[in-house]
Formats: sequence, C-alpha cells, structure tokens
Amino acid sequence: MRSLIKGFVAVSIVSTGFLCGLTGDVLHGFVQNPHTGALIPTVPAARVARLLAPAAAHAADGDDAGLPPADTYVSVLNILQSDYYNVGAPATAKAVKPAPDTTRLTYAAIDGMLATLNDRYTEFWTPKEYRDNMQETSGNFVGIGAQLDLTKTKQVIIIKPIENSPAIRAGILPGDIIVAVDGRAITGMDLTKVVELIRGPEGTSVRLTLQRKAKTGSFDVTMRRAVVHSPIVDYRMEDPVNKIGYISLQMFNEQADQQFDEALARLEAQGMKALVFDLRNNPGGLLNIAQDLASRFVDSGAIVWVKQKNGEMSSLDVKPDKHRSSLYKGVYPVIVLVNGNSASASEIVSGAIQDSGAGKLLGTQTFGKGLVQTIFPLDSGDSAVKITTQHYFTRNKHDINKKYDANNKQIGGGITPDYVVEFTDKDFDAQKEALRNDPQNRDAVNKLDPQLQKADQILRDQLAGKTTPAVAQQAAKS
Amino acid sequence: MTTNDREHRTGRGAAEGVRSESRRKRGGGAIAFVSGVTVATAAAMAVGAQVAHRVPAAATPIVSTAENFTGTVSAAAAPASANAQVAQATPVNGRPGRSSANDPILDASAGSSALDDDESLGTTADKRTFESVYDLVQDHYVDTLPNDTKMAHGAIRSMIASLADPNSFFLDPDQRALLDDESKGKYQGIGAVTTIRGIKQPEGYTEYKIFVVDAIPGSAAEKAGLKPGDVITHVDGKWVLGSDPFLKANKLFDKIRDHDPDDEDAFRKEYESARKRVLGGVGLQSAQMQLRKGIGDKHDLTIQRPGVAAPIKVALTTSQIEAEPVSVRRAPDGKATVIKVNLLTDKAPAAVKTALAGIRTRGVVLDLRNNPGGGIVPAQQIEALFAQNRAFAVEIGHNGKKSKLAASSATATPPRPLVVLVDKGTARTAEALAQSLGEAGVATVIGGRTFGDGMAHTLYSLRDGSGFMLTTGKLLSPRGLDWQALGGITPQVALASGASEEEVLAKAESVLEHPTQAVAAAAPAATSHTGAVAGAARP
Repeated sequence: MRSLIKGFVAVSIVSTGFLCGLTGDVLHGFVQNPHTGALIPTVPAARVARLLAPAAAHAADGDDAGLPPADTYVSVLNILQSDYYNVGAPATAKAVKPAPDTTRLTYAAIDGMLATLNDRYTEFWTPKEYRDNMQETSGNFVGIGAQLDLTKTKQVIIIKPIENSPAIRAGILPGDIIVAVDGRAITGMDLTKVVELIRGPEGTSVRLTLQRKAKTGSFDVTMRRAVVHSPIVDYRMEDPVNKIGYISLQMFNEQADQQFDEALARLEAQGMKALVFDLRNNPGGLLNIAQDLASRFVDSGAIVWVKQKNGEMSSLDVKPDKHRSSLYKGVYPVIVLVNGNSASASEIVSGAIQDSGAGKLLGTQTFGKGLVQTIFPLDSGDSAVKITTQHYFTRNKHDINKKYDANNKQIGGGITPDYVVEFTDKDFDAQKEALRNDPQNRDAVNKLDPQLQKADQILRDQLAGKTTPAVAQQAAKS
Repeated sequence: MTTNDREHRTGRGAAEGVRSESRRKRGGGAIAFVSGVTVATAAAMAVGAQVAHRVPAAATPIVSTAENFTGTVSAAAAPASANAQVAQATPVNGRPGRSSANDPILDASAGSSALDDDESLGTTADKRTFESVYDLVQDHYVDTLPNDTKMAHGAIRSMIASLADPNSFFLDPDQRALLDDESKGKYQGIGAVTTIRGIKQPEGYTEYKIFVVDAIPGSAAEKAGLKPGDVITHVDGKWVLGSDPFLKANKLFDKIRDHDPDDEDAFRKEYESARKRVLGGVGLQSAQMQLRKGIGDKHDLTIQRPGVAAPIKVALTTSQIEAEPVSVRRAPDGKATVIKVNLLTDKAPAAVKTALAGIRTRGVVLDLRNNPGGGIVPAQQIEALFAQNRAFAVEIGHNGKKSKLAASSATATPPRPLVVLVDKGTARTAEALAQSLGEAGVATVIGGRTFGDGMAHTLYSLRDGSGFMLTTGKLLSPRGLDWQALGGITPQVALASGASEEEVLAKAESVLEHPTQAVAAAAPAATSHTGAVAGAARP
C-alpha cells in the first residue's frame, strides 16, 4: 500500500499494467535491458509463418457475411483519414482540419478488439507502456538509489538509501532532508518533479544539497548516476528476543529471488527461529520466478499445474537447485501473510506453501487469478501485446481463478488463509497517520498492523510449544 | 452493392500505389468491407458532386453542370438509391456518397494521395501492428475467441470512439436498421430528432449535451411538448453523462500523488461522487439510442429548456410513427398555398412537385418550420423546383477544400412569388434550403432564427449490416454564410416568437403581395446581419 512503500524513486507509486498479471515468459531476447533497442526482437517462428501466409487464407476461414478484423480495420482507417472532418481539432492556417493520427486510431482499434475477449489481462502495450513495464520487470533503473517521501511539513526526506547504490556509497543517511538539486531549490516542488531532477543518464553527476539533524547548516553531496536495482524485498528481525524474522516481497521480478536469498541468509545468520513472509499487496510477476521462489520453501513435487490452450496439463516442479538454505526441510515455522491484493505469482507461492504444509497462511482471501500471460513484443513500433495463454492450478490442483454467477457476482476464487485476520480501513488510517508523523519510525507502524501482530503471536506461541487452532478459524470463515 | 464496393476498393487502391498491392493480395482481390453510403444522398446523384471535388485536374472545384445532374437524376431512380435511402431520412446532413464511384479516378483524389505518401511508412507499421496482435491472439489466447465479426466491431467501435466526437459513432446491425427506418420517415422511440453538442468548460474540458432538434409530428415527443433546443438531462432518472466525471478526481489524484497528501480526503470524496455519478448515469450515445428505439416502452425524461429555470419532467410512451414528408393546404384567405415540408426524405421532392403542379394560387408559402432536415439531395431537388441551376451550398471537407453544391436540375416550375417560413426547429439541410432560396433571390425568408446546425455526416455501411456515422464536413450557404457559427439563420423578415398561426400566415401573405416593401422595412437588421456573415465566412 501506498503509505508503506511510497516515494520510491524507482517505482511509480501507483503501479499499472504489468503488475496486475502473472507472466509466463517474455518472448524477447533482451529483457534485462529493453533500452538498448538496437536489437531486433526475436519473433516466434509460428508468427513469422503466419505473417508470410497470404491473408486470403484467413478470409476463407470465416463466412462471407463476417468481417475479418484486420481488413475491416484497414478499410475504416482509410476512410477516417480521407473523409473525417476533425471537429475538435483546431484548423490550420488554411482552415484545414488535420487528419486523425493513425497510430492513435490503431491503438484504439487494438484496444477495442481485445476488449471483446472480456479478459482484462489480455492487453496491448504502447511503446511507452512496454518500456515502463519492462523496467518494472527487470527491476533496474538509473539514478542515485534513494527512497524519497514528503514529511508533514512537505519537505523531501530520504527514507532509505538503497543498497549498492551511489546514495549509500556517498554516505547519505535515512532522515536527510533534500534542500536543493544541482543548486536549484526544491521547496514547494512536486515529488515527481524532484525525482525527475535527480534522475538522468547513466554516468552523469548530480549534486544534492542536504540538511541533517546532527549537523548545522546544509552540505553538498555529489554522486554519479548508475544502474540501481529497485529494492523489492524488505526484511528485519521482527522479534529479536524470539528470533522471528520478517521478509516482504513486493513483486516477482527478476531481482526477487536474489534479493530474497540475501535477506534470508542475513536473518538465518542472526539465528532466525521462525519466519513471517509477507506477500500482501504483491500483484505477481514472472512465472519462473514464482517457481524458483517456491522451491526455497517446498521440498519436492509440483509447485503449480499449468493448462495449455490445447487442454494439456503439465506441472512446474520444485527445482532442487533452488533450495538455498534448510528452509525447505521445515526446520522452522513459516507464516505467509496474504490479502485480497496478493495475486497470481503470490497465489502460486502461497498456494504451494499451504498445499505442501511448508507453512500456514494468515490474512484475508487472496485475489483469485489463475491465469498466465505471455508478453509478445511486436516488431513494428516497439509495442507489445500481453495475452492470457495458460490457466494454472495450485499444487493440489485447486482452481483459484475468480468465478462469477449470472449476475456478475463473484462466487469463488482465491485462497482462503489458514488464519483469517482482517486489516480494516481504520487500521490503515492509523498506520498512515503514524507514518506521516514520523516516517522513520517503522516500529510504531508495524505495531498497528493486526495481521503481522497476530502472525508474531502465533509464532511465539508455537516456539513456546503452544498451538493455535487454524482449522477452527477457517471453518468459522467459510 | 458488391459492384460498388469493389469499385470503391479498386479506386482507393489506385491512389495508394504500393500499399494497395499488398492489400489486394491479402484481400484476395475481393471485397471492401466498408462502403461509403451517404446520409441522405441518392448515391448516383453523388457522382456529380464527387466529380466536382475529386478530379485533380480541375484546379478549382466546379459547380456541377446541368448535364451531370441530368444524368444522375435519371440514375437516381435506379436501384442505386437503395443505399441512399438508408441515409436518406437519417436526420443529419448528408454529403455526396463514396460508394458509387464507377470511375476509379473519382477516388484518386490528389489531396488524399499526397497524404498517403507522407504517412505511408508510419501507416504501414500501424497496420502491421494490428495484424500482428490479431494473429497472436488467434494463435495463443487460451480460451475461445469471439468470432471475427465481433472482434472487428470492437475494433471499429473503439477506433471511432477515440475521435471523441459524439456525432461520429459505430452502429451495430440493429441500430443501423433503426437509422435506415428513420431515413424513410419511420420513427420509433420517442420520435424526436436529437443532436449532441459540446460546450467548452472553463476548466478545460468539453461538456456534451443531447439537444432536441425537432419532435416528429404525431410522435410521443410532440405530445409531451418537447421543443427545439431542449436539453435532455436525465433519462429514466439517470444522468446523461456529458463529460468524464473522473476528470476532477484525477486532477486531485495527481495533486496528492506529487505534492499534497492532505488532499487525500478531498480526493476520496470526489472519487466517490464521480463513481456514484457514473453508476447512476447513462452515456450520451446509449441514451440517444434508447430514445430512438422501442414501441410501447415508458420513459421519464428531465428537460432543461432555454429561458425556463426549473427542470421540466415529462413521461412518455414510445410508439412507431411514419411521418408524411409533405402536406399541402390553402392559407386562410385563399391567396396562397402552404406547402409544409416536415422531413427531407427522398420522397419529399416528388411530393412538393406534385403539390406545385396542382396549385391554383399565385403565391406559395414553403413552410420549413419544425423541419430537422435530412438528405442533401432532396433539399437540392426542392431548391431546383424554385430556382433552377442555382447554387445550393458550399461544403467544407476534412482537407479544407470547399466544394460547391448546386441545385439539382429537376425541371423548375414556373416562377411564383415565394415565402419560406422558418423557426427554431428549422435545422441542417432545411436551413441550407431556406438560405439558398433566399440568396438566390427567389424567396423571402420569414419567421424566427433557425436551429443553427451545418455539420455534414455520412453513414458508412459495413457488409454485415453494421455501420458507422462520421462527421465529414460542414455546410455553408452559397455566399459563405456559416449559420452554425452564427447560431442560426436570421430571416429577412422577423416574426415575433409568440405569433399565432393566423398572424404568421397573414404576414406571409402580405409579404407575398409586397415582397420588396417587407424586406426594405426589415432592412437595417438584415444588412448588419449580412455584414457579420461576410466577416465570419472569410476570416
């Protein structure tokens, strides 16, 4: 939620597009860096064949009265360009109304065509959307690597410098206030604008003027901008006394497993005896990453079952080489926090953990998205289309996809946690208020999180030899 | 239809050079899926006008010659008008059609091929993008896809909606059938001709409203007292959504995201109210469509009437009516014949001609009050009955080119003193007819200021029975009067709006007796009006 992660330089606060989906694979040779776009994306062979085939074959498929979409679109596009009197557009000097923009019309046509599929996950990405989404998938950006926020008095504060970033190497500390960027005062400026000023091409320099509580006056720090991995994992020893560790994962991008491993290793090095794994508000991400990550928790067998277009079911199994610690042996108890915004890849991982008994789930019913999308880059215009290509089922072959009755009312879907614990709007508001009063005090914020507190309590009880009746809670819920 | 379609495609292909080659291959040389049937135009008739503004050799668009029109008028009786009728009575202005180009040169307009050359590279990439997406979902989408026609409809609907022009819209086959019937004078629903107009708001967006142009005689709308210029604000208790209620919420959201978290509560409130508005509202087009269909359904409307502060609520029951385009009667004192033209359907000219043939009076009153217009061609033909070979209107097309439209070449009846009656319900091609007769000097236009709508729309047909309406130009009078910009045509002799029917006709008869005196008396107003017109028309 916004209050907890807002102000990332890296990730837009309100994420869009890609994050709503689980992605099977990207048919793209260079996902890591879509910006070095000189490469031509590899086009699947089937598609090449399709493109080369005479489209007359297409027309023959349909009956005569039908409208082949591509030809119809071309005909209408031509008419719009040659005949449309562009009412809204201001006329040019010679009273000529400009013809409507072909690219815009084309994108609208594609959106409209895909809308008839009635599947919100099959969607077209404009070049800009594609670039933005790929940046989120790769988890990289160019900048100094600091997480920013606004204080109550509307000053720009550094919440946290990101590990391995220019900011942390320059000695920037949490709580530093930014006064100016490259000598330009930023008082009263929008946060996005400040971020824009700080960002720039890789290798160039930026100078921040900072204020720090311990120092009088302001001081300058100059940094060279570099590629930074957005932090998507947050971790801490939640309960240092009982050695209960906490790891949260924001999305399943290409940095997820590596960042998770680092966090896990550090907590285990501190003698962790129980783990809270937070997948709340995690909208999903890459399918192979979900498989890899679940392999850290589950001993063997299927992680997820995937059903192809042709009806074939196949499983994606635990990868033994992804057992990074003894976590998979069940040496310490695990509770996974989930909620209604835990979707797709989050549901695969939490489903595998629940089905295999590797841990318990706590929170509220998950989102309910049992669909896998594939991203197909298009060779014309750097755009892409994301298509739902597979259905998936959990390790025990539960279909968790949302279902609706005739009145469009949802009648199922999602995973029911072992322990149902609500997080109310009131809890959210209280947390937000605490955060705004003191962005640095994470403890105060965490104390106001009923789901986390309940998980801590259950784990403490468990470590002390007591048990909490999970089944009873679940029965009460259903 | 097929012939026309094929011609259309071939013609277009010629203009597009290389691109057409690949397209022809793909299409198997078959059929274009869109034929440009024109609102309100006898298709064959259109050829004449098409020549006027499509032949590149002609440096200036020419007024169609008498021969052109003779040829086409006789052809108008031929089956070509099957299409034309579709649009005929569709209550919008029409323009010459594109489907009937039986000479490829007609489509090889210099203007559009230049455009194609400039954009061909980008356009080709766009087309490939569309095809790739279609092919990819065919190959990879996990569930069953909708059929091709449904997907094509989705594409066109969205493409046309993206123009953000509420008078350009897609029509599924059912809706298309309704419009076809309207073009023949057969109305369902409340029986009112409506139009959508945008009003720019100071906040930087456009608020659209549904305006009543006219209630059709005998319709539910007429019985309920709907008047030209009324705005329909609610249908069955639902808001007619004329703008995006989320616009304001989005602005607030940008503010809190970037700058001021204190506005979050304001945003939540605004968002909630926008959501309620959307849930409790009905879209412009769907409201308009609801009102033009159904027999025996009950609707509650809320109306905003200019000059009336309180909203007016009316309840009506939809019905089907077939409006007679023309009715004839004698004026009370018997000196003039009143020919009332209710609609400009393609039956109207013949009816007017018959009426004129049987006339026993010296003077004629052509009553265009409460006439929402219709096709261009019927209007041209009616003009020709009174003023042969005179200019009818000037159409400004998308490329800024002005095309002159002439009165058709129908045999004119012997000249008679003529008065044209207009009022606030005189709209579109009816306005064009009134103004052109006035400018030709054959009639005195009397009455109230007209509705003020000069947009030309064309109805295009797709071969599965669906179609789309497109704004394709704007009509000006032969002298360049932009009556839309002026908010209507000011008659040469003004009549008080509250005048009784007897007073109106008495005035008409007195003008018929002494036309020059009447106009001279009204001269000061007329002159200043003309001055304003000249300024407006040639900026």
